Amino acid sequence: MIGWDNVFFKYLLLESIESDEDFRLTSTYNPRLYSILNISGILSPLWVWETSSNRLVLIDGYSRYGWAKGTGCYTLPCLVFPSSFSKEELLKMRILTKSSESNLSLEEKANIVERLLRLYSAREVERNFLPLFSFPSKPGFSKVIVAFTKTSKEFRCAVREGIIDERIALVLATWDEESRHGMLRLLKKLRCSVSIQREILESVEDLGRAKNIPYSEVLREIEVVLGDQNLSPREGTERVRHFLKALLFPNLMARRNSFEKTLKSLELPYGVELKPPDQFEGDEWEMKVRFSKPQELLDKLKIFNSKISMEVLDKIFYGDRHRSL
Amino acid sequence: MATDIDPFDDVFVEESVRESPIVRELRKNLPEARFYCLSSEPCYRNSLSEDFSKKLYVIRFKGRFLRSCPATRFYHCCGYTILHFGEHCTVGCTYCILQAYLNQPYIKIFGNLEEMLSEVKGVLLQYPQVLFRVGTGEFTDSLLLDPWAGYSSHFVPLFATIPNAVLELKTKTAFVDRLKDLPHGGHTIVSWSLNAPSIMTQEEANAAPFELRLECARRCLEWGYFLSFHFDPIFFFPGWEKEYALVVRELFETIPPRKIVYISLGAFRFMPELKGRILEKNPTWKFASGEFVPCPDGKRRYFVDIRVGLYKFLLEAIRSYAPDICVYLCMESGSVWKRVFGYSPDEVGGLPRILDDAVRKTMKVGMNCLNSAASLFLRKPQPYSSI
Ligand code: SF4
Repeated sequence: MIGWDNVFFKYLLLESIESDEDFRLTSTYNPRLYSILNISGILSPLWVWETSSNRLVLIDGYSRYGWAKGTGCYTLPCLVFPSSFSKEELLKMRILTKSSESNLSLEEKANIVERLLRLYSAREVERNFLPLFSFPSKPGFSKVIVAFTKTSKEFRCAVREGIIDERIALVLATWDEESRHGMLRLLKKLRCSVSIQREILESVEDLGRAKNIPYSEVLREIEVVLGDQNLSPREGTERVRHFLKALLFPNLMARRNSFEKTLKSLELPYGVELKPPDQFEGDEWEMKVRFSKPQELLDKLKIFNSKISMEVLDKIFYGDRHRSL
Repeated sequence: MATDIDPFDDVFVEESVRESPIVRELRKNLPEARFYCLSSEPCYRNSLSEDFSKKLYVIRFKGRFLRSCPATRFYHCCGYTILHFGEHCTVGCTYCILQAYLNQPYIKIFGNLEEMLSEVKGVLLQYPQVLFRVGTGEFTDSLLLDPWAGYSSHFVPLFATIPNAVLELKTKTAFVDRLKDLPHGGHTIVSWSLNAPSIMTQEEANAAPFELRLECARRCLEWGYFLSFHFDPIFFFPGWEKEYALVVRELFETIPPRKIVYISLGAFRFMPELKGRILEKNPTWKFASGEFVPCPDGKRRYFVDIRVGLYKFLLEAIRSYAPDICVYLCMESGSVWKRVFGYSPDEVGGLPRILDDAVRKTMKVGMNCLNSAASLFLRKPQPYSSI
């Protein structure tokens, strides 16, 4: 049981209160909270711990504290926890209270998990706490989250601003520093959707693994392809996707090109289309004929028949039989 | 490279199968192990980090032991019948599909042997006109537990008495000793999965080395068993031609083709979840990072031209030693068949028929059977086939 009976209310001088990185779980500026504070001032007291050496350590209220400093407040309403409370006990209270807030950012969740690991075993954290933050409760996943707290300020800022999706950020947190920064630079340039971010990430990882090279090397090649021309984010994104596909799927691209070349050389009538199965996978092909009159249909089919032979169809269906891998 | 799969420290037996012959055999062959009695099967999830590798569960299976191969309408299925006798495997292949398939982290085998054997006998004898090719290696390795649990001593003699069925024991182990004196009656095929040497050494941690697999196959041959081999999963990597050619050569230098019922080819394919599971364990694993495309059955396969290249090469290599041997593709489309063999299974009566014919020709079993088991079990329509 928490000894609330010993906790008391007091106005404390702002300058007498010290911050402590262990208790600080948010490093972000919260404009909404600042607007409310500007209208109404501090509505709920800050939590302060009076240590055995009579220091006053801020437990909860870092944003309010920051706001008060900026507005020139001298005294702050505080709930004071006496020295009979241990730091561990207070850290636990602080973390669990924070955990119950909705809309926590990835950075806040990661900070909480990092602190929880000081209080509980990794297994307990992974089993009992990770699901509370919608993280998978997989063994070892707490390490990934802690890795995120160790990433650069610039990287975490890009996540906060939505330039990098949170799930993708967690994958990137496991990358080496140089590769992560390569990806950060790229995603800042492209400003693409989450699904495209994921596609690019997976392609870079696949290429790195397949060629046994660091991801930073793949990213350097991409930078060369992007060059320093002034491409719009959209144009840049398309160029990168195309480049990665060509690297990852050389045989598929070759087949696609040869298919298109063969079709083009046939000069099929306008409105007649032959469509292979997606990625040429499976047996279901499609043929589409657009027409507005019965005679037009007959004419188009006649022309189609005159241009198509078994040999041509063979090439269309099965590609170049003699092309080696 | 370990060829012995370590036996178990702890065996958990469900109360209702305590007297099973399988449990008796385990007690005899695992004298050091601790045996525990359970009232029912426990419920553990894969996400737990507990080590289950030395634990074995013997439970009562309440479902049907015989089932069809999980076919899809997009790819030609072999029409195999699965005899489900256990789940999970400790051979430890990095690419093993069971990692994404099963959600229990331990090996379990079914102790209600009497029920299993009577279902097999009942179903197979009920349809004397139907030829059954039955396999036990779908959810585990067929012989992995054989030295301790001894299922083969029950299965092999049973199939010897069923005129319209053959049993295939598919393995990567060297655990064949028990097969030596069993009355198989020419109804059992012992089969090994083979791969490129670098794959067999690096990706199949506890499997028997290639030479030992061949040695075991040769011994089985001496004991009168029929054989089959599976090049599955085939990988595409620099130097693949040389490595696979070498394996084919050594295979036919050791084993005469006339006793081989069939050889299957299947390029590496995977459900997207499997890639995630493998990479969790080994983040630099490169074999799922090639030219893989999404397929209509939800799996990822090498882009079709690559698969055709792999299959054609292997087919040619195999046929150069054994021109008449039955070679088939596992879960492939009609167009891939056409490009590799020049025909699609539906043009010759379907893949189950091709394999039934291979059994009839090599093993002389099911000579009077008119239908394939696929006609009974395979409920999903096959690409353009009449099944
Ligand atoms: S032998 Fe088969 S079942 Fe066992 S791990 Fe290897 S692939 Fe999986």
